[in-house]
Amino acid sequence: MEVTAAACWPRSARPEDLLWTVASVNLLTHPIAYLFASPLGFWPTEAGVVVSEAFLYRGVAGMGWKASGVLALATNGCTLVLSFLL
Amino acid sequence: MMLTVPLLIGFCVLPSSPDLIQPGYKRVEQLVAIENPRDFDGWFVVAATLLGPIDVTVVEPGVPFPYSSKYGTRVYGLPVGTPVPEALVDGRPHGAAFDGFPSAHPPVTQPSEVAFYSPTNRALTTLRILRLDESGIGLKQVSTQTLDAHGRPVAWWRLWVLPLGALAVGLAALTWLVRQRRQRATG
Repeated sequence: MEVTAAACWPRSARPEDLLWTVASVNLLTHPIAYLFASPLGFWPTEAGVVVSEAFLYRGVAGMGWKASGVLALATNGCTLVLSFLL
Repeated sequence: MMLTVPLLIGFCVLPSSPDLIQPGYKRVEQLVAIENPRDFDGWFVVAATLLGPIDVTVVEPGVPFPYSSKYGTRVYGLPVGTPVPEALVDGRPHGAAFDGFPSAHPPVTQPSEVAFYSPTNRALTTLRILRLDESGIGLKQVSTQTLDAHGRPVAWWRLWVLPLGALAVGLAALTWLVRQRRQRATG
């Protein structure tokens, strides 16, 4: 879902390997999130995922702080809304 | 905008409701068994919900009965000869029907929900009655087991193989992407 959401990121501002980065970052963050969801609760864990993913998008894809933050927030927001609706 | 604000408020409030499962999680069928409900002369043991749908079970040794933290399943000791428990509940609030009988909340620590990919479908807590008299019931947790859809115990490696596999693949892919990026930058 997050890869699909990231595909909507403007092409002009999109690093070449952004979609692969999003997929890999999610493979990394989701198992860790499931580990922490029970002791921490859903919302703190989700916030931690957004922050971690923003750091990883900056570090791996070389995006700016603002862009990586917005991307992490947008992709997680999309999946969050869809998961509640579906 | 008209829909956005109520939706956002709803998303923040609703997940705390026991009716909702967190996104990415599934409900676990919760079961409790008692090893020795017949060890106490003159008493039999029932499990009953305090709230919601009426669910009264006469507890047999080692036979699992449904447990609900949401509906407050409680264990009661009833003197032999007490009318059928369902009749006690008839037309009255559940809790009131069992007022005056010794009771205890089962010491259950099993998970009520797990990640959607988990092989766990049921959780079974086995209890032992240490004491049953007019003053109350003493319950002790003997074991907790997680079971798959076929009722088989879930081994620890089945819980971890998928998340750890995903983690390893993610880490390897990110390392490869970083290297590719550096190569492109230097080349």
